Amino acid sequence: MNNNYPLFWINEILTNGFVEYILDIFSIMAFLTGIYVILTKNPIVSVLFLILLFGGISSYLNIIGLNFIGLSYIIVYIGAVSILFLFILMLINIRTSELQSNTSNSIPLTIFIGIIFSNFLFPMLPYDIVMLSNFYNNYFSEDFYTIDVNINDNNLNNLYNNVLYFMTSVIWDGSVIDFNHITAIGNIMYTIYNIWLIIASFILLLAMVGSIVITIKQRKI
Amino acid sequence: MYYSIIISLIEVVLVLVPALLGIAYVTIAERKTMASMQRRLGPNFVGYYGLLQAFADALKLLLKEYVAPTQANIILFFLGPVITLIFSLLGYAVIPYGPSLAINDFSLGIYYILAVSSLATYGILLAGWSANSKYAFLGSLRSTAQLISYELVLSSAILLVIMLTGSLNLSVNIESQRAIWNIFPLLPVFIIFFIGSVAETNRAPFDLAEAESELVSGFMTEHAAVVFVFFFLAEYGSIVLMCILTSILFLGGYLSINSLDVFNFFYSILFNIGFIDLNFFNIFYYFYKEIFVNNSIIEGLIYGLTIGLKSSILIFLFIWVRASFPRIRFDQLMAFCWTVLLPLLFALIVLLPCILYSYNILPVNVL
Repeated sequence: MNNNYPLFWINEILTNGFVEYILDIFSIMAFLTGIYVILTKNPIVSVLFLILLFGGISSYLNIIGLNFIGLSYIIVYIGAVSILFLFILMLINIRTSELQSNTSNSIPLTIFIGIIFSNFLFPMLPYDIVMLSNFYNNYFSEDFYTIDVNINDNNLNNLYNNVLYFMTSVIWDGSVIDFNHITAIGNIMYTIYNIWLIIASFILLLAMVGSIVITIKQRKI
Repeated sequence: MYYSIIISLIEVVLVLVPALLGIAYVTIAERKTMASMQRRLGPNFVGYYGLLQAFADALKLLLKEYVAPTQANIILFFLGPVITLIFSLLGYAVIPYGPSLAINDFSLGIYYILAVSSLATYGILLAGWSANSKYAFLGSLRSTAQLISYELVLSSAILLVIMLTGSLNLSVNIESQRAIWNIFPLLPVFIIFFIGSVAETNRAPFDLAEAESELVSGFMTEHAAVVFVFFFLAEYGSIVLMCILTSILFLGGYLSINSLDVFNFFYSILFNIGFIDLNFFNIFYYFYKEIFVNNSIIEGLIYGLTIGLKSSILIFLFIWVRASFPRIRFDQLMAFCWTVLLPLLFALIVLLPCILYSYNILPVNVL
C-alpha cells in the first residue's frame, strides 16, 4: 500500500515486485516461535522466543506496508513489555524453577485454542487491505472469504471495485492522497472513535495512579 | 530486481563504511581530548600523532583468542554483542546527510530510530545474563534499568520537538528549521535531551553499567576479542548516532547559516548607502552565486560538512562531560530521571501545545 516510503530495502524490493512467499515465511516463523514459547523449559529462553514472535509479527506488518503499526509493535511489545518480562525473570532464580515444569503435554491445548481462535478470527479479518495470496488464502480461501481479490492480476482496479473493509465509514484513505498511516489513524481516532480513546486513556491513567498508590508507603501516625 | 537489490546493498555499504571509520576516529579523538584535558599525551605512537591507534587496537583484539566461560550460554553469549552492534548501526539508515540524502527518507524516521534504539537494550541484557557472572549480570541489570528510564526522557523531548515541526520525518524536521533552529525556542528541552542522551549511551557521569570501581567492567566483563570489539563499536556508534540526531532535531541538521542571506544583507546595506562601485560588486555577486550557490557539488559538500561539524561539536561535548564530572550513584541517577527530568518534560508537554494553540501556530504538514 505505502510504497512511497519503503522501509529499508525489504519493502522496496520485495513489495514492488511483490513476492508474497516472504509473508508465508514470517507467518510460519511466528507459528514456530509461538509454539516454542511454551515448549522451552528455561523461562528466559521462552521469553526470547516470545520476543522473536513479536519480531516476526512486526516484520510481517512492515512488509505488507503497515509501517506505523509494525514499528509500534517493536516499541511497545518488544521495547517495553518483553524487556520488563526479561528483567523480572532474570531476578528470579531460574535453576530451581527449571526442574519443576514439564510443558510438553500442553501442546494439544495450544493447537486446540489456536484452531478455535483462528476459526472465529479469520472470517472477521479485513483481507482486502492485506496482499491476499498468502498461505491461508491459498489453502482455505473458498470457505472462509467472501471477497477474493488477487493482487497478482496486475489489475488494481479490482481492489477498489470491491467493498473494502476499512476502519472508517468513508473510503478516503489511499484514494485521495498518500496519507501517512499515522495521519490516517489519528484522523480516525480523534473523530469517529474519540470516545474509545478517552476511555482507554482513563484506564491507563487509573492504572498509573493505582500503581503509584500501591507503592507509596503509608506513614504511621 | 536483483539489480536494485545490489544497488541497495551498495548504498548500505556507502553509509556504513564511513560511519564505522568515523566511529574509529571518535575513539582516538576521545583519548586525545581526555589526555590533553588531563595533561597527558595520549596515544601518539602508531601513525602520525597516533592517528592509526584505533586500527592497531582493533587488529590486536581481532587476533586475540576467543574465551567464553564454561557455564555460559554460548549462543546468547555471542548473540548479545552482535545484536547490540547491528541495532546501533541500523539507525544510520534514516539519517539525512543532505536534502533527502538518506538511504531511506522514511516518513516515520524518528519513530524508527526510537524503535531500533530500544532493541539495542536486548544485546546488553542477553550478554550480561548469559555470561554467568555476577559482575556482568549486575551491570546488565543496571544498564537496562537506566536505558528504559532514560528512553522515556528522550522520547518525551522528541515529542516536544515534533509539536513544533509536525512530522516524524527527519527531513521535514530539518527543513522546518530553516526559519529558526529548534535550540532557540526549546533550549531547556535541548539540555534535557543532551543529559538523556548521555545517560542513554551509558557514558560518564552516568556509566554505572561499567562502573570500574564496583563492577569490573560491567556487562562486558567476560567478553574478549572480537565480541568486545562489537560492544566497543556499538557504544561509540550509538554516541555518534545520538549526536547526529541531536544536531538534526535541535541544531538544524545540514542547514548552515545561509551564506546567500548574509551576503544579501551586506549587499543591500552597501547598495542603499551607495558609495561602492556597483558594477564591480555585481560581478562579484554573480561569481559568488555561481561558485557557492548554483554549484551543486559545493552546495552538497557544505551540507555534509555542516552536519558533520555540528555533530562533532556535540561529540566533543560528550567527551568534555566525561572528563569533567564524577560518576553519580545509581539511586541518584534513577531519582534524577523519574523525579526531576520527567516531571519537567511532562509539564512542558502540557505547556507547549497550549502556547501553540493560543497563538494559533500549530504546524501543518501534509506529509
